[in-house]
Amino acid sequence: MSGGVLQGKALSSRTRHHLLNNYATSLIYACSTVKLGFPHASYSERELRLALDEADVDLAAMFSRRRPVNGISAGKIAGIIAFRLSRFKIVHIDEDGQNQPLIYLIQDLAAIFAVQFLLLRTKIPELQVLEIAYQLSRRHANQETLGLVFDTIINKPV
Amino acid sequence: MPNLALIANDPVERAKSVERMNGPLYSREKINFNHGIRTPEELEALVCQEPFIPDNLEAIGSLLEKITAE
Repeated sequence: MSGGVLQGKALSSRTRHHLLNNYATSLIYACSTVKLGFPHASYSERELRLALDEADVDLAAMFSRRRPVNGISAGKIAGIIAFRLSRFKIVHIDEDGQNQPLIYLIQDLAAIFAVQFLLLRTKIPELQVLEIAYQLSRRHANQETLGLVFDTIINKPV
Repeated sequence: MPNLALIANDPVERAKSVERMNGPLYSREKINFNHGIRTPEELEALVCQEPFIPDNLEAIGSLLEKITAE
């Protein structure tokens, strides 16, 4: 903690740049998935930034606990980042978009796509993408369990 | 594992018990999965590759549409 602001050190400036740039792509795919026109969606730069800051603190704590012998699996890192991306108030839908009943899944789909594209780097079956998004959006989810789910997806039997 | 009656009535046994617990006899189990990313630099190397875009994104939308229509 410094000056009242939590600071991590696990996400380098370059890592953050790629995560932020990729988030916009993920949000575009999420809107397409629920058939919502892009003009109806906006994202809070502040909340997105703060979500990454929070994930950074989580990751820095895990790195310091496990180093130098143990690492953190890509799935666990994805779980932490996806959880934070789902919890901060990032995505906002305008009044005309409120008639689309599936908009509640957009931010969670964007969170899943964001970590899938850059960290998991593997295909997730369609039904499981929707189930994880629903779980994140409407039921209980946490970083640890999400991480285990993502690890299982990465390490699925060939 | 000392019996409580012994500890309650014998300060020497109690002191021995405290010494055992406070010493190296019992130590935290270390679970060593020994996998994964160890440094921010390794994380950066993974994240900064070309994004993986799966080929079933449209199928997710179609399935969602089908599920909601049912």
